[in-house]
Amino acid sequence: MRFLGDLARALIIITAASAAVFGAAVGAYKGGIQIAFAAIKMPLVLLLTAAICAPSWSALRAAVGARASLKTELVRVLGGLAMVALVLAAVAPALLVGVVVGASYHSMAILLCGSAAVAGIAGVAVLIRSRVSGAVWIPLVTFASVFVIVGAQMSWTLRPYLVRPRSPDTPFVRALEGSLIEATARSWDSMKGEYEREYAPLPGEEDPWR
Amino acid sequence: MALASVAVLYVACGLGCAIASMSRPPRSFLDAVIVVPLWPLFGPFLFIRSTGSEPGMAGLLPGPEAVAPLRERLSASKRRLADIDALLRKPSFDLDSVNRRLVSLSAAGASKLAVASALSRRKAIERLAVRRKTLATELEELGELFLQLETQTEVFRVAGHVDESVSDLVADIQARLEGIDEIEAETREPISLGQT
Repeated sequence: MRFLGDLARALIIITAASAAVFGAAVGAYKGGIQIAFAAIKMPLVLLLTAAICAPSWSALRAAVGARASLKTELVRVLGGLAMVALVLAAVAPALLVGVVVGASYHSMAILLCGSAAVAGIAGVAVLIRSRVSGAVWIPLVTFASVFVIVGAQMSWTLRPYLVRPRSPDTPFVRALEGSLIEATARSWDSMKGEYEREYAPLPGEEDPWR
Repeated sequence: MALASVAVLYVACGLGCAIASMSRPPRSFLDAVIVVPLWPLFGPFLFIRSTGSEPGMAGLLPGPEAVAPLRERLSASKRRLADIDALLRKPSFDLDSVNRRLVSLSAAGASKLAVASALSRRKAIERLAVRRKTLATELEELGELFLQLETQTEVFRVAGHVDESVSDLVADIQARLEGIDEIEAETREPISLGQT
């Protein structure tokens, strides 16, 4: 294994390390063991999503008669992913500022979503610039759509990353409930001061709003 | 199928890939660790054999679509050299006749302006001749580099590997073509032949 294999390994390590930095910054909002949990889970979200989407990418490139080899295409995807992780690592200090100044949970959630959106755009830009072979737009848009859907579900499955400081427990993962879109909309409303509940019940307490 | 079952199946595939990667050289523990969770992504790099179409050292060789424009630029530069040669063969660009003209002007006590014009004309012709010589040398060397590139391409086609210096060769060709562009830009500057 030479050249592309070495490059792929390096890109995976860069992605894992950079995403871990971002995860640690997110986990710092709660502190303690959550820093380690989020630092472990954030690279998993990115890399497992890419791994799950890789076969769809292979199928798409075959469907459009791509000229480049499978390995070349996968390296391009990894390049885009590494860019996503690097941008996330770059915005980690902004999250840490939020932690230091005691920003509200919902502001931090929106900041996290915004960071992910910016990083995603940077990743797609890398993919476009790397001249994805064959008919460019159809496979790229399809792959990006698949990646977004799988990534959203993967991140939802491995949550929490951002935990309220007053929360007494810190689970590695939570049970599945609702969807990511619903949760993001709820965070947006809460940031504007529109709450569905009068307060968030602590673990063990009954939730009268459900 | 429950999420846990899918996860177990996924990890089992990953472990299988890791065992397969460790069972054949080159064995790398790091690769085995990476391939367990990321086997759909990293597996091809471990298990698909490289072919001639793979980028490796062969990827350094430019394809026909990349070589054709370079060759076209080389041909254009050769045509430009032929134009300069044709220009220098014209009687008005003959250096000996300009020198004779200068001598006769001085002997006849011509005006300073007339002598200065003849001197300017000689200088312009000399400058053009120097640029022509530089361009000819560059084109000759560039032609040799193209031959070397063709040889490397044939070597790769037959033997399946190329010399690592081929990347320097391609970079050298591109740099020299840029240098030729500069020389050509200079030769396109208007040449004043002065008033005689």
